[in-house]
Amino acid sequence: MSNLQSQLYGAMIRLHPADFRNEFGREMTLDFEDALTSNGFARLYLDALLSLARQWAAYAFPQTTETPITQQSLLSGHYVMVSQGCLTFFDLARASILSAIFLLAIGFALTTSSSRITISLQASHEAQHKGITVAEANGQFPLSLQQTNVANHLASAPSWQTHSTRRGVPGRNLNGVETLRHDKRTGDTPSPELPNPLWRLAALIAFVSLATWLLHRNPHTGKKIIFTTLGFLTIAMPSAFGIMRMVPVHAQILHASGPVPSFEVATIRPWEPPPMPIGQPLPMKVSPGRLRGQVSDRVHFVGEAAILIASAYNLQLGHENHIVGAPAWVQQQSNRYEIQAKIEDSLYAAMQKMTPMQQREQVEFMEQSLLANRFKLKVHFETREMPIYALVVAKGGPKLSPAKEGESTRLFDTAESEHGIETTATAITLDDFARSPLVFGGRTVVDQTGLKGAYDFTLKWGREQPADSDTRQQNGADAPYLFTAIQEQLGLKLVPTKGPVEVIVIDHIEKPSAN
Amino acid sequence: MKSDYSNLLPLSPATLHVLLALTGGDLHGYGIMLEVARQSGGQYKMGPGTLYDNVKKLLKLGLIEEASAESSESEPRRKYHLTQIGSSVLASETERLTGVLREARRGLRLHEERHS
Repeated sequence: MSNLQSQLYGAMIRLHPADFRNEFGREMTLDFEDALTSNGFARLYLDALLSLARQWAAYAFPQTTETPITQQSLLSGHYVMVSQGCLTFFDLARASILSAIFLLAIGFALTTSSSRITISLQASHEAQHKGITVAEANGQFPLSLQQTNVANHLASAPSWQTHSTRRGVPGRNLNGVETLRHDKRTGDTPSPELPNPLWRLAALIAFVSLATWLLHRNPHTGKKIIFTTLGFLTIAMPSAFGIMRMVPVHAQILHASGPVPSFEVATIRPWEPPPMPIGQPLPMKVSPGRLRGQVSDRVHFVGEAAILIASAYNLQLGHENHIVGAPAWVQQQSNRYEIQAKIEDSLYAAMQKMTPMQQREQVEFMEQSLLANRFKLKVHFETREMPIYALVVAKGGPKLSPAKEGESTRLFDTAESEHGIETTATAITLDDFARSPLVFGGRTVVDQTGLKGAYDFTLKWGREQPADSDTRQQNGADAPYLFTAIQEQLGLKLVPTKGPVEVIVIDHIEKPSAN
Repeated sequence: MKSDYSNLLPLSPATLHVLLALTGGDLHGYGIMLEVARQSGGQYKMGPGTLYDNVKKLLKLGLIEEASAESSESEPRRKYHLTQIGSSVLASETERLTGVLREARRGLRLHEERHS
């Protein structure tokens, strides 16, 4: 007899309720050893597993053990009793509750891994709407994250490098990116966010305990009604959990649920990069708002069609790979377009009463309308399993300092040279960090560190991944590659994995007609 | 006075086999498993989990009881003994099954006659 088999069976016996284990455990072990050859390990192990379920059910619901031996337990499910009488109301209620508990547990287990993704995406969506501003070098004015994204897109594009103030460094400008902490500053109504998984687990345990306690007793009619109600409610809960958790996956991409507004007037023309002196700010999307102290109802946008689509559908920075089925010209930097548009006065006046999030959505809907009219864009949405990164704690533990009291949440570049970039974060949660504008190869990053709270850190990193450390030194690039830097300096690690990601599928698109 | 055991009937297959196995004498757990396999021609092999689930119920209902241990055994295993109540319940179940068999045979015979 294999020692491992014996140990496994012994472990199964130890999982039984104490009274049963104490009374029959030793003999079960002896019988297992005797019967192993004739019955086979798998059959005996399955038998013990079923026994385990029955005994715990009997422990949780003592009434089942008080019933005659012919009474078929709803949990045992071992023998078919043709002559079994009709199920009682209590049996149905109990079965409903038990089924719901099992479904809830299964749903909880299945969705736990994806919950972080969806919560992160939801939070990302929320944060994008609520609090991220870009500080221009010559003055602070609020713009959307999308603006930041587009700026980063443009800056990271090779054709822009010649116009960048950071010539020679593949430029992505994080200077002045400030992440405000959501509702406190904006006063927006927070979108619903799922409670902490531990709380959900605690709620589940509390519910199971309550149900167990209630079912210890022979209920009267009133209790039966309560049981039934609880049963139906708990059947609905797993479904609700699933729906709630899947919604944020879609929340990243902005979906129009009805007619969308349009710009009053818009011009689109192919864009040729003008000669730009060093220091000239990059063209970018300008949303309506206070621009250099002036209220504007104009939208100015420059970029290839993919970025326009990304902008209109609220895709995150570097996530153009979530646009699939597009012809090559959509991604080509040689096919950039400049859009200048004006918002209708009455609509613009109405937008002034909206929150920044609502204003931004209005503009995005107008962009969707523009793309549909001028680019003849038709899309649909699909959820696909795509590569993502899980941010986890590396071996050796995290190297993070807790944030100081009263600090505001910021993530910005404090220095940048051809040797690397220094990014400083203050009072930033790892969830915020995971969805920061740092480019992770177009992959969604999900915080799975389990670390709560806000942290301060400085990250020195290089944009290019050198072949090895010698090469790095030869090239004079002192800062390690971003992924390496995160591991070495923060004690965190980005692990490639896969997860559900919503993508935009291009059904049709054509180059825009002349104005 | 004949007791009414109808509330304990029909017995589940496992319970029936355990009680039936003990009609031949006191047996310990593995002995019951072997006897059940023998009675069913090897078609029904009961595992320890199922066995002791049923043993626990039968002990509680008083259909079986622990037999007194024999001091000569080096590694005493508890043996189980069929009680008078258990014997009566088994008899009632056998009677019920006999009726079922009788009805089944009659029904099958009529069925074959109709289709012949």
